Amino acid sequence: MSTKKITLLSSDNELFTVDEEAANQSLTIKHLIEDTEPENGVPLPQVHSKILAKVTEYLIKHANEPDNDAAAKEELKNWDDKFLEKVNHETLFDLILAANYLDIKGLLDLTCQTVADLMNGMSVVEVRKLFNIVNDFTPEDEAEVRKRRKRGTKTIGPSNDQANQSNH
Amino acid sequence: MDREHNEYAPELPDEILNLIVRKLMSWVCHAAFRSVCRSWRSFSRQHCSHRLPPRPPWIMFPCSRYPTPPSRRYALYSFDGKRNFFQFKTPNCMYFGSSGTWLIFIDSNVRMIRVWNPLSLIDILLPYIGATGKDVYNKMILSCPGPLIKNAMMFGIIYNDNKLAFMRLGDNDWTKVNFSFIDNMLLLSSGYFTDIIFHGGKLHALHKYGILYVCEEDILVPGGCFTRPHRYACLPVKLINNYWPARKPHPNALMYKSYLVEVDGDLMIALLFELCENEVRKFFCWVFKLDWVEGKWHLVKLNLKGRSLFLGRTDCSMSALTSRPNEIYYKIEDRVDRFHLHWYLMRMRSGDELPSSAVYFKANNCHSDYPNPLWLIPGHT
Repeated sequence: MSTKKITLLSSDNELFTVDEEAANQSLTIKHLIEDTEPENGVPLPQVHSKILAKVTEYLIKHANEPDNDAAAKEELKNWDDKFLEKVNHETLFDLILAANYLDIKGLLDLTCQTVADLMNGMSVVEVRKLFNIVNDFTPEDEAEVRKRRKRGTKTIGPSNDQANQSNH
Repeated sequence: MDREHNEYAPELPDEILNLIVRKLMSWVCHAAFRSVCRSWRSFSRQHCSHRLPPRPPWIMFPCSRYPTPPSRRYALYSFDGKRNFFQFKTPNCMYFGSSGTWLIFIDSNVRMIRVWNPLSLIDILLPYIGATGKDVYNKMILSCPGPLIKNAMMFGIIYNDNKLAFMRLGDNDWTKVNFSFIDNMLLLSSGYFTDIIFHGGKLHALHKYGILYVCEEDILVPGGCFTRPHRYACLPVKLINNYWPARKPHPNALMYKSYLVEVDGDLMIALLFELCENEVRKFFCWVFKLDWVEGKWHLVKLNLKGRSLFLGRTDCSMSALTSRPNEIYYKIEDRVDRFHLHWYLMRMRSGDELPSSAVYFKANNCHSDYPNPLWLIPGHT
């Protein structure tokens, strides 16, 4: 069986070689190959070599997904868990963006799940730190929320704004 | 991984944010998510309104013990323990069930089924189903149990114990589900449906042998127009699986009832078993979650995602967040004499091997012609 090799070119001009089957998990790469048939590697100007290394690692591991083998499935799942264990937040977000850009459903699912798991059990302040978001609620906003929360426990029947919400 | 300040975090596009939000486990996380910043709050309003925790239903029963004339006075208990009396101007007929915020009446004066919302006072009239006029209506449900009528509102019904039909708002008549071409033996021998539910816009029905049927329409007009002058054709009905537990929580336990319930987007079945020992009735509950890929039911241990189940008979079963997570509320009756019975609302923790049910609430001496106490959602879920 002949396996065609695909070369991927990162934003900092580093080359990565993977089997075609592995590369085809990324719909973006698949379409790029079909449409342009590039000779000197598929150019991926949005992905840095540091991230692309991780992505190719994932692609190679997931190239032959087991169908009915429960043990192999289990092993793959464990590998997935380990895969993102040592990744820092910065890389994790880059991986999400890369998975989204390259259209790799499995990797996007895995990375988003990891972020969601991180967020489980985090306080609001921690979530803000994780996503580097500045609290832009004004004191008036917070007073409003508090007021609504109080009212919500007392009203009988649907409040007006709930009725409006379910309208669309 | 460090939980310290993250120097670098890219702005995530909405579709990725949406993916992440969908994977958040608990409602507490959602609350945190919404409180992060203004844009996330408005994002959550737009995309996650369906993810807000459903409120626990109230339980409703008539104040009068006598079935005629209808007293039009009902007591509603909420889960904060407050008792609220409501004086509804109900239609002048008996109700037999509820679905979300809607009460369902059989109006023998006009020979119609009335679906009536005590909050908005919207009244929907549907034709009778069945031919004899002495038909028994076991359970009726609405596809969107909220307070507003939507174009796509559908109704599902079990009648005469073993027949299934559904209807779309605007149809002239019920569309009867034809089971004759599948499983002839099984259904003819003892056709019997124990529960129905709308899940993902499709009607699901549970046979007493544990087979789940999904009714799919083959001719369906997408969009708003459902006014069709003729009936739909017979429905192709899919057999999902026939896995039913051979095991029981106790060798002498009997199946009391099975319920279909949706928990945070997952379809689940709750099986209630009854064990009578020394004139003491004990109840066990097993909850199974459907694995759509394998077509198997998996036993759910303890974790109902922090939600509590409210099991209904002629009313919809539902899940909601209460102050005490992972509990199961169910109703049982205790017959006093020919005309009266006590209703108990019981509560148990899910997943306990030896469940300790406690009476949460009791309604004494209800007339046996009354339907069981009903779950009623005071607002939109």
